[in-house]
Amino acid sequence: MTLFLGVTIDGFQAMILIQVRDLSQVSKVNICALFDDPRRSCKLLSEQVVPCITKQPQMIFSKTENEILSDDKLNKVLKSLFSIYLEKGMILDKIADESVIDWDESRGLELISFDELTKKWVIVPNYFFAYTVLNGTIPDLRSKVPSSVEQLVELFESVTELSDEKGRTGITLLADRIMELLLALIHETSGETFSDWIPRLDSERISKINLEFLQAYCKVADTLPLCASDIANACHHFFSWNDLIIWPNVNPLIERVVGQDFKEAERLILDLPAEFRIMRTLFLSGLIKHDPERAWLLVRSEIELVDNQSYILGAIHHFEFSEQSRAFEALRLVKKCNLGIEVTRHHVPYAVTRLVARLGFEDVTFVDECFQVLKDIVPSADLPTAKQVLLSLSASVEKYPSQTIDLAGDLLKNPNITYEYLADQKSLISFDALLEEVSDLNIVFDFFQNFALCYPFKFDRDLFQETMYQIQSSTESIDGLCKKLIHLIVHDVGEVRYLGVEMLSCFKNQPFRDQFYQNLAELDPISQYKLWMSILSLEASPKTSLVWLLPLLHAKNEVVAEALLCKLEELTESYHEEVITVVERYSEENAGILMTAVVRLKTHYASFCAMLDIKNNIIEFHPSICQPQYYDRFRELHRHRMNEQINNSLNNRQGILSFAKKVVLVKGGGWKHRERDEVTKLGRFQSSYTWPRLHLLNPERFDLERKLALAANWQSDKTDFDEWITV
Amino acid sequence: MDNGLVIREYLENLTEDQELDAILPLLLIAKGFRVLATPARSKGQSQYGKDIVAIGPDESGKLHRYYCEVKGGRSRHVDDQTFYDNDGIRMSLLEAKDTPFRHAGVPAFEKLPIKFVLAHNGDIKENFRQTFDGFISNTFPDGNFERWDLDWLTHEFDRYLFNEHLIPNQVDSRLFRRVLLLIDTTDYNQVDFRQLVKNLLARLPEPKHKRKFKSAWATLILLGRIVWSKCRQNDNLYPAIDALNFLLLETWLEILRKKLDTAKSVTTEFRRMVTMHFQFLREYFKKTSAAAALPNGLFAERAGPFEAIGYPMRSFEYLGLLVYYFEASHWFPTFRKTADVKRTVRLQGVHKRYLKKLIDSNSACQRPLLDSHSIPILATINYILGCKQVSKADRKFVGDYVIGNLDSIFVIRDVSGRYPSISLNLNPLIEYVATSERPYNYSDESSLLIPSLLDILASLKRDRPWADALRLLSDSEIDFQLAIPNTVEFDIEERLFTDHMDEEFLIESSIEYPATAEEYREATGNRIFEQITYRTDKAGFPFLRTLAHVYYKSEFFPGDVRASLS
Repeated sequence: MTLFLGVTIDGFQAMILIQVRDLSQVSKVNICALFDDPRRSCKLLSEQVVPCITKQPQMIFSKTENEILSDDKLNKVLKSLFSIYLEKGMILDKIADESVIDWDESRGLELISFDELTKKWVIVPNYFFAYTVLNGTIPDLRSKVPSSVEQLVELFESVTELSDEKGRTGITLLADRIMELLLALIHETSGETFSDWIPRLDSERISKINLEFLQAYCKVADTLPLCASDIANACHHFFSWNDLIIWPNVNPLIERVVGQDFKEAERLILDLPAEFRIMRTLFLSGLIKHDPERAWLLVRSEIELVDNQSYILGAIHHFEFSEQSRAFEALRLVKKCNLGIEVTRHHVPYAVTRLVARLGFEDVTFVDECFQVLKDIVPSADLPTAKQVLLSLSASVEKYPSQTIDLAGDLLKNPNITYEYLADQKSLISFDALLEEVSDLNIVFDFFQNFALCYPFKFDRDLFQETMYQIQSSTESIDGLCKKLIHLIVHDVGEVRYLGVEMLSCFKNQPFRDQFYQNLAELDPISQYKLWMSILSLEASPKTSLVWLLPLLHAKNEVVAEALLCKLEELTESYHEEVITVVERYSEENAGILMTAVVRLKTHYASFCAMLDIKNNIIEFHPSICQPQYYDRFRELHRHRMNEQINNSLNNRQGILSFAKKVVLVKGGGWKHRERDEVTKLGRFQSSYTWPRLHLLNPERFDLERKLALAANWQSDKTDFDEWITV
Repeated sequence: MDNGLVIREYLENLTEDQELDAILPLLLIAKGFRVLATPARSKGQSQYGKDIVAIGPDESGKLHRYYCEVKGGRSRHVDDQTFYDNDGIRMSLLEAKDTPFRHAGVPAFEKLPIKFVLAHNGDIKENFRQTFDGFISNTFPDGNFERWDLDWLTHEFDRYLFNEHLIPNQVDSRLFRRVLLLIDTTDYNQVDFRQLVKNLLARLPEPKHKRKFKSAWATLILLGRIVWSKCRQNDNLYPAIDALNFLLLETWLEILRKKLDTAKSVTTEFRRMVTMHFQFLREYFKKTSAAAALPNGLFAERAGPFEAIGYPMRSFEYLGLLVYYFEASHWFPTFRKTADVKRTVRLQGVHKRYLKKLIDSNSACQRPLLDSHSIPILATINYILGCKQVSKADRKFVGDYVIGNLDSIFVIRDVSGRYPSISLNLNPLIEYVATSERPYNYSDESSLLIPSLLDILASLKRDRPWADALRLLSDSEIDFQLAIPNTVEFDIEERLFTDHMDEEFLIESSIEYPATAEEYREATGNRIFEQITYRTDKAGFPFLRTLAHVYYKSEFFPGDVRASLS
């Protein structure tokens, strides 16, 4: 049973949470204070003890309210706020309400706050307020205690509904509290255990209150009190609702239940059927916390049975592993588990990574053995198992990043982890979450290199958004980062070069670029040559690719500068003036250092344009003249295909569009907001892209040559860099 | 619209050079004149006020020498400016009078009375009439001067050409007007023009009706000229290519059908049409060849991804027509057999250089998308290897060209998963390229192109690439075939000029290749394909067959290819 009390300690307002195991027998209760300051909480826990409430439990809520309301000042504030709430809802009017409530007191007590978003003052839905409301307006719950789940739904909805059709109360805690009250009253009056009620909450009509029910049940079930079996059954059913809210509610309840009766907990662990795996794990976890030795004996005997292994694997890490022998013993038990059973196989990674994470001592052998268990599983793991391994690694990554990421690298080689699967965000499998926890960039770069080799030319920075962000904001020196990236970009292996160039495109800040330029100048000519070849091997707008290479146009080695300039001349034929603009801007920013190059590019481009003019005058060559039918048909099909691809790409990305409702505007003028006069011209949109001219000239050969150039191994393919560049 | 108005509108838009002076002879022929000199024949020489010289009867039937000075375009009206200009009307008429014209081919030519004519597709300005009349009465006191102005020309063209042949009934009249209206419209398939040509050819008089026969032929050529000049006015000659190709091929087909290919009067008239067609192509290639030979000159810059198809299609079309033009040019200007070997060798040298430049500049010239692209490829190869002097470099170029085509076939197969389409219907190919997905009706299971390329490689003794190509083809399921014309059941020559040939071919399928090119040469070298004796060749127009193959997309016959290669 949990009671709440508002008190003032050392001049601080505090909320006291009183945990009562058995009101009739316990004479003193512990106090924990909900302070932000942990030192103050500790002090309270060690020194403050309050007399136990000895009165029978039927009026515990009003009793608590009395406690709250005994503070006159607080009482007054609460009443004022409550009357406003009844009248208008949660929003306060700074002018109209100023005279009604004590504004400073309310702010001090954190009963009101200013909402930056709506620029309005609102009532804060906290416990004080919730209790006041209960004391004031809730209909007399006792007079119509529900006798069925349907009645419960009806009553709950009616008492939590605001007046004037303002909807359901926004005060979550208030609603929760009302549900707790109702469950307590129902149990008090009829002895109802809710065993029959809970399955009925599955039905669609009343499932709208099932989460409120779950939360309230988990709060009060052990205090009502209900028997452990009923609670186990109820919680088992809750898990079928498949909601994230279940774990944080059920977990504490079971822990309390176990704490109340170890024997009963042990009996349940042993007696509950196999399909109650989660409940058995929870009971075992609780037992480990409360009575580890009893739990250890149970684990050692029970793990022999194949059916028991999975629930034990879910809880075994809760033991304190301060001794090596116990840890090794636990690992031995884990290793004994039968990996042929699917559910067991899925839980081994969970257990092992947590064993490693919770280790209370340093033992390289133990750590290696743990990771070896996973290394043995990974190569041939089926997809669900591989997924479990990856999810489990989040437990070990902080403590053992190197071993963890090494194992993640092994996962990349698993044939079931395809790139398509990784790219599909619906699969909920991501290395990004793991890597972002790693602070050592060498480990991250090694993994990326591994990734680049496993999925050639498929490194997509969107798959590693968080990690890339981490790298960019890394505390490591920019110089070091630049060098690492340049090393990748000029790598002999094409797949790694691709990775380097893709990563480089994420770095847009000026300090990084300045450092990059500096490092560029210090490179040997062959590396400089390789660098521009590598960066320009990927088709990208000159604005994003060329900017990295501009210092090479005045490289000391003439071959490097001349070769790059020749390449830029070629690029003007695809990207036109954009190339010249980029070079010209750089030149202007650097005291005209590249004026000769700019003039040469302009001359080349002018002669290219002159040639185009000659061609464009021959209208007989234009497809609209000489191939009109085919031209129109192609454009229609191609446009349709492009739209389809863009839509698919957006849908697969599961980006912002996946959260938005899809609305098709019947007319094309734009989107007008109903209440504001804003108009968004989203009815139509247009996108454009630059298609390299070389690709249009000979698409298949361009693709093939690009692939070959990308994949070229500059070491084994005997590229003639040494011959080209005389150092 | 009244016929007169249509004709008047057409005539008044003609310029002098190559337009009015090109069709005026047709009118004279239709009127029964004998034309002795035309601007086309005296190109580059001073005409001394005699653009056209002809012999013909006057209104009383008495034969005269007609010396015609033609003024069109900006000079089409008679006013003080056009009259007194340097090389203006006054100067031309005085020159015409003062400079004698001699023609030994016509007996008693010198004895015939002379009529001086000013032919212009405009009017005389009223404020200048008196001056002009005074000049005429002083210069030509015998009254031997006639002025053929726009009204006169409209009337005569209507009477002798349009009314008699072109627009004798409502159906043809409607077709003619539609041609004039639609010829330069995008997407116009020239169905009216084709029908009109067919109708005219169906009514072609027999040679014994001399004047009617001549005027009917003149009308056909005039029709071609009308289309040409309409397209020229729009600065877009492309629609005229198809129209004039059709006119020429359909006319020759009619001659073959009626077995008139040995009739001298017919071939003489047909030769005029060939000349007109050639002149048109000369204008087309003069306009486009420099641009086409620029780097990727045939690539349309603003057409975007369509150029994956558009560029190769356009390049092969250009190449095929160019080879025909080159072949025909050997016979120009008389289109009779010439013994001028020196000129032929010189021409062939120029042509080969241009072909090499064109192919080197345009990668799409060696990127076949259709199996029928074997036609322009083989036409090019036949032309180069059929020249009187074939150098080592020529043979190397041809070999490299074949390898380039095979290489492109393999690249497209590896990247896009397709071989050249065997269908002439482009839609499946378009769908394939536009969507990157193979449509159900895309067909590339067989090929005539690849075997013919392999055959040329073997004959050029490029054994290594031959073996490489076969190795690259070893895992493909493509069926190699050879199309042989069925001369037993069909008159192949007539069919060649009729339409695309399909059922006229017998197919040897599932060709298998030995391990080496040498073995292949041994196995196939002695094979003799039937040599067809072409009436077209005998009549002196062998080059027309190339145009027929190119235009109707009918594959070259193995016997002809083998003959060229040998």
